[in-house]
Amino acid sequence: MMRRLTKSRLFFLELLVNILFFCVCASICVMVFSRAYTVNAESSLLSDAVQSTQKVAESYKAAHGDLAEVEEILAEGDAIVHRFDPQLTYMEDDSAKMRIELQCDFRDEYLAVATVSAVRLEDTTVLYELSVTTLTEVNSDAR
Amino acid sequence: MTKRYFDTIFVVLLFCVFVVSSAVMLLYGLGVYRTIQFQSDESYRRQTAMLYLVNKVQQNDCGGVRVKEFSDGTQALLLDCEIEGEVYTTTLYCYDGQLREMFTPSNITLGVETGIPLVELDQMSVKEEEGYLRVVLKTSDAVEDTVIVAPMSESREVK
Repeated sequence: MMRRLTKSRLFFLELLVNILFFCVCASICVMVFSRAYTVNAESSLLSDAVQSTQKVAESYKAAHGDLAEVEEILAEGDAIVHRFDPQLTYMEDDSAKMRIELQCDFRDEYLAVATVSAVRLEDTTVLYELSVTTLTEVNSDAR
Repeated sequence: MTKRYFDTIFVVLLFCVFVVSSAVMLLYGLGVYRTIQFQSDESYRRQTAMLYLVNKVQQNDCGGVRVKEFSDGTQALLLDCEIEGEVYTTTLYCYDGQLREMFTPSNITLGVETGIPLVELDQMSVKEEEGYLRVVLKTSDAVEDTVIVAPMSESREVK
């Protein structure tokens, strides 16, 4: 014969079902929250990468493709700049999460072409890359 | 009697655990939302002014880029452009906590307060170097960013 369930037991069962349901929902929520957090962090990093890459590209244009001059322009404050011709690396400061690499692809008396890329330090993934072309000093003087 | 009493206590405790867990979840969600909102606001404040300035210089890089200082010491970036035979000037400067822009014929000078406010910005300083401009922007939360712009058109300083 089936025993009659007391009120508190019924409530206990209902509560258990609710808690189970809550746990499933909570784990989904935690996953969504952490995903949102990661996406936001990646988005911020990408924005910074674009900004820093453009800064290096503009410096390259201002220096008319001369890496020594690019190094001079970028070396301000806590910035870390290393030049190994035909390459240059730039970091905003020692706590930066990425480094910017400038690789000279081509240079003659008229044009200088380089590739600027933002590389994440953690796993050396290329976050953003752009190609920059500028007139060299000799040619820009003749304008 | 005692068994029933413990049953009730256990159910109440379980209910309390449920309430506390719900509150923790809610607070965690709130924390994540706040962080995302703060980072996105910070990103907007930092980058909007900077990108606007760079794009404006690149867009109007035809008739020369000048650096001017208003009588109250406010530094401004002047971009000249010729439209149907007349030279117009776009003036970008920071005034009253905002990045402002003025577009006027080049022979007309207006007061700093007449510019159209674009975006929040605490301070802007422009340093003209050989072949490029170094623009330092400071947002309301004291974050400083340096932008380098290399205009192709000839630039000169005007006082």
